[in-house]
Amino acid sequence: MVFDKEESVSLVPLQSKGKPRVCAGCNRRIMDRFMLQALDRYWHEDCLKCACCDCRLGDVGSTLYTRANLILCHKDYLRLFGMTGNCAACSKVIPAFEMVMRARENVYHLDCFACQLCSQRFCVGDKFFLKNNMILCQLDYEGGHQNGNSADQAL
Amino acid sequence: MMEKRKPEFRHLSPIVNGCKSPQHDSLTTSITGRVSGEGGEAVSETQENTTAASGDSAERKRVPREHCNGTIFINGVSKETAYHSELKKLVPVIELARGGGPVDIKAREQTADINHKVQTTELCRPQIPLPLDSRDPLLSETRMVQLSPLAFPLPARAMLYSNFAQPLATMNSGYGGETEQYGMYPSHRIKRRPAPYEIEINDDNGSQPKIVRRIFTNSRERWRQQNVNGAFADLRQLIPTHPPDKKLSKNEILRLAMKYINFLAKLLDDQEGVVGGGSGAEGAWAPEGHEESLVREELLQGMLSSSNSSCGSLLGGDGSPDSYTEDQDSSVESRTQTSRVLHPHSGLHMDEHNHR
Repeated sequence: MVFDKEESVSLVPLQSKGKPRVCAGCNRRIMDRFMLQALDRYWHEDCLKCACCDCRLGDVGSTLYTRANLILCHKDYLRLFGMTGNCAACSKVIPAFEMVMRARENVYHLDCFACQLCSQRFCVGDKFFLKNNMILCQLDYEGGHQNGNSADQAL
Repeated sequence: MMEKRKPEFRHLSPIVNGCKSPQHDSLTTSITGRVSGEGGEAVSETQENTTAASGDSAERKRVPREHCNGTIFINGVSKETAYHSELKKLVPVIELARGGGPVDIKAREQTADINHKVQTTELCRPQIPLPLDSRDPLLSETRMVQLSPLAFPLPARAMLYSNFAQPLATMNSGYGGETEQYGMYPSHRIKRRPAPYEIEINDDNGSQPKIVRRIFTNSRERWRQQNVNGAFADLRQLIPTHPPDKKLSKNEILRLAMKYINFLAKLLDDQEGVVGGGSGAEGAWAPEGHEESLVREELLQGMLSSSNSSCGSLLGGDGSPDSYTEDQDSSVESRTQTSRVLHPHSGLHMDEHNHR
């Protein structure tokens, strides 16, 4: 059973007192002014890199993911080991590292999360409605409601 | 020089507005439209200060015209020395770009010819101060000499262009400043070696079906190229890089794709081993599981050394990232188990492992 861990990466300055640290990536002494500390070891800034995209983990962010003996950045960790699904609006695959919008059990691409009648995306605080598993903005939802009501009344 | 310049400017400021009117002759209008605004003002200065010595104004006329190449115009009153020293500052840039810089200046010094043809195309290309006409064979020779070393640092690009040799020759035969590239590799705007069908058409005076065939072939080739480029773009979307929108050449796209595919394949093999050894880690499978873990270590070390420079120890713990993934441990297990239809039993898998 493989466990994953979200690790912290911190930038630490070189201490003038004491012995110089040995980098866990290249096994050489660290003579730089700054070094990274992660996984209880010390690294050159150039040595702590994502196995997938080769980005410097000190630059990208402060978290590091490790799995299957690989050091990964957040995005690549999800890219490799994350769960994918399908967008409820366009039915295309959602890669695991993408930001998504959720509504009840449905998941949507960030771009797909818009009113399915007027194609307007939502602002923070806007109300949206789910009708027949369709996303509707307030106007379109109420437009449909009123039409239905008036038809009933007419009959 | 600088101090001499300033009072002239101050003197000019009310006049400049007047100068921008279209009544002036073509000289002014052609030059006030140039890139450097200060250059425009300087020229208006030449127009207005007709009281100055004729030689002086002639110099001034010459200077802004030749000098308005996008740089800040510092000195309106052209001492020859100041002007050339300024251009000499530009020389390293020109050398890198075109390779014809220093010789150009020297040619101008010798001739001191005011009547260059002012090509309006120069306005768009600040790097090229002069029209490169072929009046000086020495000029073209030196250009040829300087172009070839530029080509050497980029042999890969030279290989990419099959007609590399031809355009160089055409460029050196006194071609004007119409190429947009700086000698690195030929631009598609350079007159290229005509294709066989084009030659035939020129000789045959083009009957209708031949023209049609040429156009058809052109558009087919263009469609094919767009298809290939589209395929490269799709492949680029799948390759993880940092930053994600980093520009990759076609070569790099292919190589990184190979690297990524190998990385994924090795990861998959490794995960098979891990899952197989993990689920069968009770009792009877323990020794085989142990062997398997050793094999797995070798695989991992191989993958690490070939694909990246990081190393680390296997750590335990739980993690749950914020993004799309939910219950990833169980889902990964279930996913790997469903994909292991061919290897339902870890023992079976172990046998296959031994047979390899």
